[in-house]
Amino acid sequence: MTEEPYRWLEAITNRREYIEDQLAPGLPVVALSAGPGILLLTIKTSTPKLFEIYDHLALGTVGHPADIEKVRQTAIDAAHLEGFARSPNDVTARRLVSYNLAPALKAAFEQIFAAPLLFRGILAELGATPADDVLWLFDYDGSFVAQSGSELAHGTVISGPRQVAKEWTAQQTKPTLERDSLKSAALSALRLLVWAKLRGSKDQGIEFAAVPIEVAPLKEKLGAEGLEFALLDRALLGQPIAYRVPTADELGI
Amino acid sequence: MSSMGSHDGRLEGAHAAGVGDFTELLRLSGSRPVLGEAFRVASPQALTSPPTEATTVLSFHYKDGVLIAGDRRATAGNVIMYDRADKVIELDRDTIIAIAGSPAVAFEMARTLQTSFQYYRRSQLQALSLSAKVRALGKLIKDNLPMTLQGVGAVVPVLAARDPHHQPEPSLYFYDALGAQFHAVDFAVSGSGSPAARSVLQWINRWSGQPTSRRDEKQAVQLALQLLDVAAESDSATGGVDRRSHIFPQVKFLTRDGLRSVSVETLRECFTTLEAAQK
Repeated sequence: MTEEPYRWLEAITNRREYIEDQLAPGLPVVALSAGPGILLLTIKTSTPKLFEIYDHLALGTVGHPADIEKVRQTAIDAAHLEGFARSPNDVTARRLVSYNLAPALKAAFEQIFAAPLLFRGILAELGATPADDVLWLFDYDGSFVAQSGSELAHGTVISGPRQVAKEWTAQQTKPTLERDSLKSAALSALRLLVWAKLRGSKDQGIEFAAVPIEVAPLKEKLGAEGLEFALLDRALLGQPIAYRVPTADELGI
Repeated sequence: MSSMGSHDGRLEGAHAAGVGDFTELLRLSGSRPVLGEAFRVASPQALTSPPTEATTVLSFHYKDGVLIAGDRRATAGNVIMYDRADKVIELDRDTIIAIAGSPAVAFEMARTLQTSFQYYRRSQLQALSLSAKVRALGKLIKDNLPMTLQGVGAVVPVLAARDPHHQPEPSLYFYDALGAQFHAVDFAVSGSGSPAARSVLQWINRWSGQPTSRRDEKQAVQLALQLLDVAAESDSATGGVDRRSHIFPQVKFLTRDGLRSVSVETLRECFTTLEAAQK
């Protein structure tokens, strides 16, 4: 059937609809570039969604655990091969996304007779200063976009429902998030997480200004679910491991 | 072609997933041969030559953990090539290797292990066990057998390691040139200058009344400097303490609290104290 172009287009459209339906229940992941580092925050589930990829790279994910594993492993393999063949300084998120992950995801998406990959991710790259941080958003179809500089002041979010990230990015007047200290960054990230969760589920019209600014009511909005968080710690940049899991006390959440 | 571009649009992670073996990943990706594979033909004459191990590295248990040290000299035959070689290398936060033997192979082994340990931890979401780390070094030495037999690439290292969760007290291991591993109870030495250091350490632990395991941190550093100085007296390939250029050996500690490097200032102070006591 794929010899006929319109059939192929139809198959791809159906595939996209199927993937989006499958991803829709996925909980949001927030990445926030702050003074002390890049904070990744999500709602805890039975399988982890935040991962260390390389010395200065971390991955936040939405999708099927088995597909997340495939993408995560590919990223780790490529990063370590490059770091070994050249040097850790040559391992960059741009090259990893552009030359490895995105082509691989696009190829998998277009193989219409194979099971699709249910995946959406943020690859965070820690720089010497917040101005040097870059967040790469990439999707199951191989599309990707980088956020850096002033864009990072608003925080970055991905979620199961595709429109959540789109709506956050498309706002005319984007809220600037407090992110000087780890605690202020954690509170800002938590607010964005709650906004994204509500926006993607029962309270689709909620504005960010209406999201509580205290930790207790924010956690109440998340229900009984706990939090999963990770930090690319700027104080550890240059050492083999900048990725760590801070304590809830450190974050104040 | 960049190794990052070699995946050619496929999700190839599955070939190493579930294994976490970086040397296998290197082989599968065609990035390079495993150590020694390129040199399968050994010359019969080479078998009669002893392997070169021009250096002195040593380690011993002291009161709080393990000290591991090495001189800084790199030689080619009777020529001193370099006086600031780093032979004591941190593989991760809980593992230190001290290398003796062919620098080209030894540094490559250290780099391979550094990447392997991180790769395993990140891909498998758990740290490699202590016994697996010890074995990984033995496997690299064994894979290097063709080079060893040719007398050009032997490596005989000393390893200090601990498992912070299951075995927080550090342990010492030494190897032979074929890859066999041995657990050292009190000390381990390697390199061309090591016989002198071994003799002194054996005397200290049997007859001095103050074995290394009873010495505190400062005494341990002083002993390491003395041992390397003694080794340098009998072995031209060992740098010892360079009094004129103020080049000191590398000295590191591995304890229950992790690893730590001894600063040059501390080494200078310890050595000055030792010299002053002799005047």
